[in-house]
Amino acid sequence: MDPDIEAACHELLLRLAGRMPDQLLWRYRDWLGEGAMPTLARTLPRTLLKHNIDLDQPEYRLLVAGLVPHGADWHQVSSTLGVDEVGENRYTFTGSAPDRVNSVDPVSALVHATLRGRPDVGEVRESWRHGDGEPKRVLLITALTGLPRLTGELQRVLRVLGDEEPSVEVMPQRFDLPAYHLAALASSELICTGSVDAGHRLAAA
Amino acid sequence: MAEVHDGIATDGFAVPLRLHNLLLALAGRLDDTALSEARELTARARLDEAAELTTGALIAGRLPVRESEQHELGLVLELSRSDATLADHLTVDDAEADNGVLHRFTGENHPEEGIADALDRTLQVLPDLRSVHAVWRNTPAGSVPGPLPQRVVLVEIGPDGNPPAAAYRIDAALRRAGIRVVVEVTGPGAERAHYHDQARTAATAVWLAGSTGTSQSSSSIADEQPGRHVAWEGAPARETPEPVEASTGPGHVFGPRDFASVPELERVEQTMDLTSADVAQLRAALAEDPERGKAIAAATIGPEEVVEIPELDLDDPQLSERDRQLLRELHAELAERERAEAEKVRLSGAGRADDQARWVDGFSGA
Repeated sequence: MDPDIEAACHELLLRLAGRMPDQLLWRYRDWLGEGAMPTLARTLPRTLLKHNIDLDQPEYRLLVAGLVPHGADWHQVSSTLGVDEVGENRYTFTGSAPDRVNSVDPVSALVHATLRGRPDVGEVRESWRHGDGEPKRVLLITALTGLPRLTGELQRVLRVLGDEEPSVEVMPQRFDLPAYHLAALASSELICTGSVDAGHRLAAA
Repeated sequence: MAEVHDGIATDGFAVPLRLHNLLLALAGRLDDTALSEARELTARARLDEAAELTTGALIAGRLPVRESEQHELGLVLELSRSDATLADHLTVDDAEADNGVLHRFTGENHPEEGIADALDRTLQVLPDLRSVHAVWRNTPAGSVPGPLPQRVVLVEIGPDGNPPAAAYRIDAALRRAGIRVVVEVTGPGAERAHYHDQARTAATAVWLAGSTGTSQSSSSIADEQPGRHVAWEGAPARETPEPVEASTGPGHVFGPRDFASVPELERVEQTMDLTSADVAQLRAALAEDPERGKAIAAATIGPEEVVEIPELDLDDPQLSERDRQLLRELHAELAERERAEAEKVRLSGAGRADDQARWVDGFSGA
C-alpha cells in the first residue's frame, strides 16, 4: 500500500476520535490495519454523512488523498466537507479510573509487557475518558512506523481482554494534536516507553 | 433520500431475512460483535450498513466464504443500495468455509444464569417464541474476537415470529441487564449450521414454551421438563453434556462439517405436537383423571374434533409441582393444536395465497 495513502487514512481516523462513535471507529481502524482500503473507500464517506460528521479542510484533504484513489464515491466525499468549525471536544479525562486505583489492571500490565522497549515506539500512556456511560480507557502512543498495524494489534488485545470498542490512539511523530488528544494527554499516566528515546515525549512529565 | 429496499426481493425473499440467514450461516466465522451489530442494524431497517459491516469484516479478516455466500452478499448489497462490487473483494473458499472453524461449547458453569430474569418481559411480548437455551463457547470467532468464554443464547421461534426482530430485542434486553451474549435465532425453514447444532448439544435450557420445541439432534434437551424458567426450578435442567468435538490445540479446530441430512422443516413439524406416548405420560401423571387421559392420548385427534380438557387448576393441593408442570404442558399443547388447526382452516380458505406474509428462508446457503 502507498505509505502516503495509508498515513492519510490513519491521520483522518485519528482525528475522528471523539466525533465518530467508538463502535464504528475501532472497526474502521481495524480495516485500515488490515489494508482493506477498497472497503474503507466504499463505506467511510457514507458513514460520515449518515452520522453528520463534517470534516474541516485538512481532514477533507486527508479523505480525498486516502480514499479517492481506492474508489470512494466522489459525490459522497465532496459532501463531507463542512463549512462550520469542527465542534469542541465534549469529553473530560482523568489519569486513572476512580475505582481501579488499588486494584490490579491486567490491561496496563499486558500493554507494558508488550510495548516496553519495542522498536519504533515512544511513550505509551493511558487516560480515562468521561462523558457518556462508564469511564473508558484511552491508550495514547507515539510511534514512528507501522501505525495502523500497531493500532490494530492493540485493539485486538484490548478486545480479548474485554474492551469491546477499544480506543487506541497511535500518533505519528509530527502530529498537530486535536483538542481531544490534547485533553487526553493532559490527564494521562505513563505506562511504559518503547525503544524510541524521550525526544518523542507526548506530554511533559 | 430514497429508502433502501426492505420488502420482498425479486425472488420473493425479504432482504432482512436474507441478511439474517446470512448472519446465521456466518456464526462462528465472523466475530460476535459484528454479528450482533449487523443484526441490530437489520432489525432497525439500516440494511445497507448491516450489509457493509458484514462484508467489510469478512474482507478485512480474510475470512473464507462460500461462492453462494459471496453471491448472496453481493445481492444484498445491491438490494440495499450499497456498492455491490465490495463482494468482489471477499475471500471465496468453499472448502475452507465448509471445513473451517469448529468450536468448543460447554454447558457447565451456569450459562443460563441471569438470562430468564433479564428476558422475563421480552419473553412475554415477542410472538411465537419456542425455546431459549444458553451455552458457553470457549473458542474465538472471527479475526477480531472478544473475550472468552463467549455466552451464546440460542432461540427458536415459530412461523409467527420474526428472526431479526427477535434477535435484536433479546440481545438488547440481555445487554441492558449487563449480560454480554451473542443471540442466534432460528426458525422453521432456516438452515441451522453445524455451529448451532454443536452449541445446542451442549446447551442448557433457559425457557421453553408450551410445546417441547426441541430438535431430535439434542438428546439432552429432549428430556427437559418444559415450562418457564426451566433452569431455575431446582432440578438440573440438562443431563451430562454430550462430548464435544475433540480439540487438537488452542483456538480453532478444523474438521469436516457434518450437515444434517434431515430437512429442517421435517424436524420442525415433529416438534409441533407431542406424540401419543407423551400425551399418555402426561395424562397418567395427572391424578385427577388418569383414565380419561389415556383415552385422549390413545385416540387419533382429528382436525375437527374438540377435546374437553380439565380446567387448568394449578392451585389444587393434590397436585405435585411436576403434575402442575405437566398440566401446563398439556394445556399449552392442546392450545397449540387448536391454533394450528385454525391456521390450517384459514390457509385452506385463503387458498394459501398469503404464504409470503410469513417469513421464509431466503438463503439456503447450499
